Amino acid sequence: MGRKGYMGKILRVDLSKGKVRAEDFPDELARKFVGANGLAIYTLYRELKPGIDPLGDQNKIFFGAGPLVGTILPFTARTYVASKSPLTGLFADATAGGHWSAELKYAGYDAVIVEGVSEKPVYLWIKDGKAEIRDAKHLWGKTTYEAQEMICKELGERRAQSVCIGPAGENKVRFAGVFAGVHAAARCGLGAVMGSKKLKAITVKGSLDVEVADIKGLQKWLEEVPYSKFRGSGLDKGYSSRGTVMLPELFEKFGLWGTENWSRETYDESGENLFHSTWLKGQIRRNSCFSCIATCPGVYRVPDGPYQGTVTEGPEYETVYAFGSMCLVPDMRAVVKLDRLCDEYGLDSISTGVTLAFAMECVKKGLITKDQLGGIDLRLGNVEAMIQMIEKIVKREGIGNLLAEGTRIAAQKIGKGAEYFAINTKGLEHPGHSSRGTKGMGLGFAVGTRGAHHHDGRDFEYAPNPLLDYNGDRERAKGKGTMQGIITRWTAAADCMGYCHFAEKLYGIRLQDVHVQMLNLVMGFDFTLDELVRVGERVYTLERLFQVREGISRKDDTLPERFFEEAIPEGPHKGAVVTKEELDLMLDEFYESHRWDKNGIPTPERIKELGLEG
Amino acid sequence: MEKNYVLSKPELCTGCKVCELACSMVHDGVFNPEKARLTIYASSLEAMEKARICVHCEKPPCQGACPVDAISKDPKTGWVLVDVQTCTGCGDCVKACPFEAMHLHPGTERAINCDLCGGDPQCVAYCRPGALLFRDKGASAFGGKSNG
Repeated sequence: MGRKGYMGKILRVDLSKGKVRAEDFPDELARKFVGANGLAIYTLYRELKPGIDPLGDQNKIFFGAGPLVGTILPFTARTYVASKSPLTGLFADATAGGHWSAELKYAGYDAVIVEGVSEKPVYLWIKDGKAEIRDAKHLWGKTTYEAQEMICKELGERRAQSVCIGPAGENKVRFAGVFAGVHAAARCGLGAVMGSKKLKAITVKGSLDVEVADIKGLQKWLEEVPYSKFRGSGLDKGYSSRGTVMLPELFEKFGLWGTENWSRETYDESGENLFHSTWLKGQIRRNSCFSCIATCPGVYRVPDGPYQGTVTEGPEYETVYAFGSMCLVPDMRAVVKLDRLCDEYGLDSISTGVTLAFAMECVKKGLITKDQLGGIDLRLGNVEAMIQMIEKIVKREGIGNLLAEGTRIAAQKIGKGAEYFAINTKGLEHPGHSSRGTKGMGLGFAVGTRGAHHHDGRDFEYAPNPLLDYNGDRERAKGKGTMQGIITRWTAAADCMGYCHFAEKLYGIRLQDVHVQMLNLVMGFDFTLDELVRVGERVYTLERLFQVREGISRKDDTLPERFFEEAIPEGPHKGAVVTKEELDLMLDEFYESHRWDKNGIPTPERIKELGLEG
Repeated sequence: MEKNYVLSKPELCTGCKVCELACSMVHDGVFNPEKARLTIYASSLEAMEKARICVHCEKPPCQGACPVDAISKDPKTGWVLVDVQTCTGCGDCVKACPFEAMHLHPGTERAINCDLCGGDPQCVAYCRPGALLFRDKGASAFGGKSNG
């Protein structure tokens, strides 16, 4: 095989038949789709019939590592997971940091595709090309922490890496995540897909080489580009010592911090309790993902109070938002407790927090009654009630069974106008970035493949950015569709290569020569910038075609009613609202930038141009 | 005789394994942590362990255990070196080393330990957090001079 950076093999696992087999990953496919995200949508678009149940035996789940993964390049450790989502009912993917993806490659594979359903709980063990389906009866019901440790112990492999689910995934909670170590590919409920297949974990270990096309060139490039760009950068000085937990302070000051189920975007009364300065009081050490020079993840131990001694990696910004500002919990120590709980049970902390905030507002408005709550006093700020409710969700007990469906389905079932308080787009709960104050982000949520996700479009509107032809006007709609068009090409291409989106702070958020250089040094193809941009367009458009096949069009590319009806009530962005006209303008721009039609459907010409016909 | 070895400071280690990648890159021209001459372990979320790397013992147990005299201690530098031509890959040295610093290369199946890259250990050069220090010389790629 000519190309480098790949293992050249895909492992196909049929859990219904209990069979595993290796397939080739041919050059022409690598050239057209690169890997990870590209390979996933190529496979799932061809192999999943429209309308299938995401939690049924017809669904498949894809785990992958891009060509850059396993090399010394920093910001390349993403573990990529994709499937048809039980939360959105559409194609969805999620990525995690950590060490799993690199180890998958050393074990001999670029990807694992799991299909069918096992009769009993199992896990998959892959080492140096060999794969084995093993009994997981003793692991079923265990937390993600316990299960991963037990697997390493029973295999006698201290350095093996796992992706696994917790009890939430086993019980098919629609927002259960996939956990790689303590890193979560959290969003869109892919953990529930694993649970529906009775697949507890995929554990990998290997001693095979990851080769690159030009190792001397790469070594030189490493020093000249990423390492030298990194020194003194925001990633070096900011993220590496503070992580994303530095962001609550920033967003609070901007007045763009989703608070109390997005009824406002300021949380003045929390003081500094959710800021980095408070978090520092419990910092133990800093961590890195595989091969990375940044140390974004920090490890925290609760120093005092009722949750004293609880340890977690993080919390990340989104978790501080979901439990802190959304549920009015002005206490970092409590947020850490909730974060750890989500990690152990295997829940997406964003959807969990937003679902709790939704339920709290429903309780307040009388849409959920006391009787339904089974004695839990679910009101804003009541941490103990939140813990109890999370346990009910994980076990699907009482009203937990309803909330385990996510805000969209839960609101439909509650009725009586509860949908208004369900802050989701296409079924996915919103992360902590403003739709009203940063209009481009709002558009990103409205059109995102995954629904309200901050990694399709990105929130890049805090300062002017020449790469995006952006002047710094956050509330302006015009130009934001084109801007997110540029960004989505980049996010899709990045997810194909396997690199972390934080590298945007190093290489820029628009595909440029630097991305091509990196890929060519590893792969040995003579990719051009145009060709790489085309990969991003091809992958993003094929994702759209999957969604279109499931019935998605312009009518679905919208936002929660609250963002149209209620303006931000206070703070620097007081008065900001999204109007339908603004959304229409941005949608037109965005579709035009991807050359989809006015209804958001890729045109036959565009499909042909991207080589996606047939 | 000068002490000459890579010192591990687990309290500074972030677990990125760039050291292992740099090691296999410069020795083997590939990326493969199993071919690296040092190994990093996390003991838990809260702490890393000391890197498993040769400390070039005064009286190396590996040398004593080797049945074919493939391991020598350089009288000038004090470095413990494996002669791969002589090594048979029996693994006796691996068992003898109390620091888990000797292991068999998965490609050649011969014993490998830290050879200090001939005097400029690249694991140290690439370690951004400064968790690996060369006792005598060598600058970190991130500007920090190692302590002496």
